[in-house]
Formats: sequence, structure tokens, C-alpha cells
Amino acid sequence: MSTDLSIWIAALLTIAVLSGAYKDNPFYKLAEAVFIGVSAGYFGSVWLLSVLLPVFDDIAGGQHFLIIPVITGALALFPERKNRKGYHLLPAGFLILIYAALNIMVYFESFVYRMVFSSVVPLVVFNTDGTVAWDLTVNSIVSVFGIASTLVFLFSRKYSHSNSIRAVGGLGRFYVLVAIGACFGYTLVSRIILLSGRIDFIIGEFLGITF
Amino acid sequence: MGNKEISISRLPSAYIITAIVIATILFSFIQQDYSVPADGEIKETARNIQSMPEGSKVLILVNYGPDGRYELETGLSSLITVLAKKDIGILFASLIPQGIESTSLAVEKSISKIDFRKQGYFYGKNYVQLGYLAGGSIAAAMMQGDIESFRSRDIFGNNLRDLPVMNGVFDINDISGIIEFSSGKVDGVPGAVFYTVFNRNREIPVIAVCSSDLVADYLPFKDSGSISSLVQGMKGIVSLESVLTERSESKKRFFTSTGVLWLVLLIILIGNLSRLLRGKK
Repeated sequence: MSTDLSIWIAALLTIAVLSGAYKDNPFYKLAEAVFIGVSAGYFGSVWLLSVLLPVFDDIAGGQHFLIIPVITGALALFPERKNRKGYHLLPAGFLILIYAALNIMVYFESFVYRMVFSSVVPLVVFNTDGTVAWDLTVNSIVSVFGIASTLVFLFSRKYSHSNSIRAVGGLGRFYVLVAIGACFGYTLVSRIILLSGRIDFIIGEFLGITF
Repeated sequence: MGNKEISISRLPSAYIITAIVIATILFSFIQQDYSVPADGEIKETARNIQSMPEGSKVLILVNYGPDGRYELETGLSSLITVLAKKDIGILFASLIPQGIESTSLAVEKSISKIDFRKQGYFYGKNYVQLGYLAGGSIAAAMMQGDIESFRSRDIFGNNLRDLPVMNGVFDINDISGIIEFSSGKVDGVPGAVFYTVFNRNREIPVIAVCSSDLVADYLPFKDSGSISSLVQGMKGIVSLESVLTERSESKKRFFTSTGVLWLVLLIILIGNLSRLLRGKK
């Protein structure tokens, strides 16, 4: 068994958090509170040491124009009051404008242009020797029909009364449900790996059981 | 005593969770290597990594925190080992605050595996931590230009121009590759995608290594060409590790998670079958 205090604390907190899966209890609440407090402290210190202090160093080093964003950011601490106008929305508005301007390009290129570009695929795929690559062909057909039927599904229920279009929309709904299920499955994989990592920590580092 | 109908759908969730925890412990004790053959995607990733010139510089974005540690850390430490052997300088940066700690842990893990100090692998000479780049997409856009005007010091306060690893690196075009390890998106978009969109020099390979819960989010960007290659979750990391190194730590963890997931699948199937047989929706 480990004699390191930090490992003991980590192991006891891990066990306290896992105990919450059985029933809500004071140990789980304590671990939750510690997690929230430590996270807030960590983020605060990262912001201070990685963002604010380097900016003050750069200002002192000659980049005086950086005073403008520092003052603008400080305005966020002055909300509107009865006898005082609030300027807290100015930095927020500026940030929103900058983010929107930058991300419009990113979103359009990555979510629209490239997605549409990669969705238009040949239905029949050939190998280099001229034979049909059946696995890629089936993949293309499934992919194209899935995209088309999902798009039909999005409007068919409200805007169409045709049974055939609703049937295609039903196929699209199936694709959406499969996609949601796959996302759930992947998330489950990630969480199970996290659980196994913590159990490895308790068995290996805390209890000292080796194989 | 009344007759209670027993079925999986009526079991308290705590019993199922307890069964999963016990199964995880049992599979951890079995500790068997579970190899995953490398597919075309992994081979392409390995080719991209191995084609990086010796002595060049690589930007590694560490965009994961403790939640992604057990999936991504072994992959990152293996990559550091491979790049170190080729004498490739590494610039670590992170678009999320948790990335700083994750970087430190991965580097320590690499150094503990192989005695890098004997080979002369030191901070400042072979790698540097630029730290947390606040601003998300704005930070990624700023990195395309002069790096020093955006970030003049590392996380320890050293001037970047004083560090040997930064010799010859002035902007993103002086870097031979960008590799992102991610367990979350930045501003709703994978961090690696920003570098592809903002940087018009498409010759720089952008490799993304994502955790399992992000595979569905990253896959469209790989298919659309926004990312050069994608290592998908734990399975991809196990496969990539077997191509790049001889390590087996991730294989054992992958075996444990595979076994537990089969149990979860069984529970879901039995639960749904019991509902079906009882005629309930």
C-alpha cells in the first residue's frame, strides 16, 4: 500500500465519488465540493499566471497598447447600477464581433463547404484495375441515401403530407437514431476507459498490487 | 409475501453500476494484451509522423484534461518518444487551461520510460511549453502570424528567443507538422480545424488524435479533408502505438474496456429482450 499522502487523498476521493453511484452520501458531497473548489482555484490560477501576468510583463516591456484591452476587460467588472451607466457590455460586444468575424469563415468552410464537398461521392467506386470495389460502393450508396433521407426527414413531418416522402423521412429518422446511438456508444467507451483508469490507479498505485 | 416480478429493467441502477465496477476490476486483474491491427488511417498517420524531417519542429496541441488522460496520455508519451529519437523539437501549446497539466504529465511519463537526460533531451533545448493560449479561435488565428508577438514567453517566464528550440521558428510555416490531442472541442469546432482553415499552406500535415467520445464529431472533418489524418479514440491509439513503439500499456487498458463494454451490451440486450417478451414498449 502506498505511503504517499497525495495518492491516499486521490484514492479516497475516487472512492468517495464512486460511492455516489450507489447512494447520495456525505462523502460524495464532500468530494464533489472539493472538486468544484479545486477546479475553480486551478482555472483562476491559470488565468492569472498564463494570461494576466504575461500581459502586465509585456506592458512593462514596452507594448503599451496592451493597456487598452486590459482596461476594456476590466470594464466587465462594472455592471449597470441605478446611478451609474454600465459599460460591462462593451468588451462582451467587441468579443462577440471578433469571434463572429473569425468563426464565420471557419464554420462556413468546415461545416458547410467541406461537408457538402465530401458528401458528393460517386455511387459506384472502382479499383485501380477497373473492377468494382463493392465495399466502398455499398458505403457510398448507404452514405448518399442516408444524407438525402435525413435532409428529407427534417422537413417531411411538417411540410409534407405525401406518404412516400414521409416514408423516406422515416428512413432518415432511422439514420439519425443510429447516429445518436453511435455517439452514445462512443461516449460510453470513453467513460468506461476513465473508470478502468481510476481502478488501475487504486489497485496499482494505492493498494500496490502488481501483476 | 407478495410475488415480485424480477426483471433487469426493474433492477436498481446501483446494482448494474456495481456489476460494471466489479467487471472492470476483474478485467484489470486479467491484464491481457489486446492488439489492434493498423488500418489505412493509422498507417497514413504513422507515415505523416515518420516523414517529418529530422531536426525540424512540431507543434503539439494538448487539448485534453484529466477526463481524457487515460486514453490520450499513452499516445502522447509514445509520440514524444518517437519525435525525440528523430531530434524533432516540440512546441507544446494548449487551447484549454487543463492542457498545461496534461502536457507535464505526458512529458514526465516519456522521460520516465527512457532516460532522455542521457541522450541530452532537455527543456528549452528539445521542447518548450508555450502554455495556455487564451482566446480559442482567436488564439489559433494569432498563431498563424509571428508567434513571438503573440506569445513572447513560455509558461516558466523564459523569453522564447533565448530558448534553442525556438531557433528558426517565427511563424506556423516554420513548423513541419501540427498534432492535436483532444478530448473536447474549442468554440464548437475541433482545435485542429482552425489551423487548417486559417493557414493556407496546406503542406503542413494536421493530425488529430481524439478521445472516443469525440470520434463522431471529428470524423466528418477527416472525411471532408479539414484534417490530414485522424486517430480515432482508444482503438486508434492502441493501433498507432503498436506501429510506432513496442509499448503495451494502452493495449491492456483497451482489453479491460472492451470486456466491460461487452458486459454493458449484454445488459442492454437482456433488458430490451425482457421488455419485448413481456409485451411492453
